[in-house]
Amino acid sequence: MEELTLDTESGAFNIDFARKLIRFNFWENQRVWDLAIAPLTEDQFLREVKFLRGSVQSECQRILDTESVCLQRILGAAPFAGESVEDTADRAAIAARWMSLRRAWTAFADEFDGELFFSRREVESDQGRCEMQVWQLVFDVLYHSTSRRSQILRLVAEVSQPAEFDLSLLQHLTGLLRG
Amino acid sequence: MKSHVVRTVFDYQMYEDRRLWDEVIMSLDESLFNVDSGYSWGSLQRECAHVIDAMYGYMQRLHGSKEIGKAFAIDNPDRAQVRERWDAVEAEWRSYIALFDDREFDRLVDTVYRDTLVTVPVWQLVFQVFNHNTLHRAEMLQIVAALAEPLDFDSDFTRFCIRQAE
Repeated sequence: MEELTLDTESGAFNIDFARKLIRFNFWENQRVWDLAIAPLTEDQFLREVKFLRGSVQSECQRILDTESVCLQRILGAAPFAGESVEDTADRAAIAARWMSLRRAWTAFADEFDGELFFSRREVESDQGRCEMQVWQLVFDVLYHSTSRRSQILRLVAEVSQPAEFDLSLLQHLTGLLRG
Repeated sequence: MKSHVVRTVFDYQMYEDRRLWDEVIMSLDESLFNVDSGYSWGSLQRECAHVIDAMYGYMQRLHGSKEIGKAFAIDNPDRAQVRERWDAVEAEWRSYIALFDDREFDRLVDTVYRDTLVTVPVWQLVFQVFNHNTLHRAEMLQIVAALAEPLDFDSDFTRFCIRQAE
């Protein structure tokens, strides 16, 4: 794979696009929360859908876990030190975590620059220890959360009658929302 | 440098699309390809056709077209026909991305989105396609889980980057 490094001779590297993608991710999380998850009863929120191997609750926890771990890898410190998955077992706790994670990532996006974009982090994964660049960790969050939001909407459709709305990057960037 | 990011993410998207086709869709009984699951676009056939339409449509937008046509000239294509069209549209994208540079990343495009004329930089259309494909791969896996069996099919950009670096 081609290695990316910051070419300091070409001047400041504009990563405004990456900031926008990060903000989109957490905007869309919130949209899914407000339009699909918040209207559920507690029973619907917790109900296991066998063929999808999960519940809305467990999918929310998966998104939170990945977004927390990635931010921890980037910043070198846990955004929620000392808390475990069990701390986000109920909906109120998940909602609070969802909101504070959005704030933490938005603050990170505000600080994000070209140097940080290409800086390296040591990552421990199921494939061992390796080095990754920060932009790769950011995109990991983007695509993981996109898949999980899709999974959440499917789970919601299995347990209730969800509102109709679209998931789309371009609607966020253009402001032309549907639903 | 931004074009390197686009190329890497594009490679990841194509890698996941290939996995979906080779490990999931082609391993199913063909009779399941057209079965309506009752969710979103319904069947794998319609999901795939929608993804191909989007990839084709955004490529047309990138080339300046305001009138966006359909990718399929036939109704009710079978699995082999869908795969053939998917591969052809993907090949167009590969050719486009091979020449992608930082100037193209920021080039402004006038296009119609949701019946509204908008001017957007190329990167927004390209990442829209990446995001859209990711969303619909997830939906297709849900359809397969509903029609056949739950799958252990994790897509993971980190794992992709680690494998590419090896």
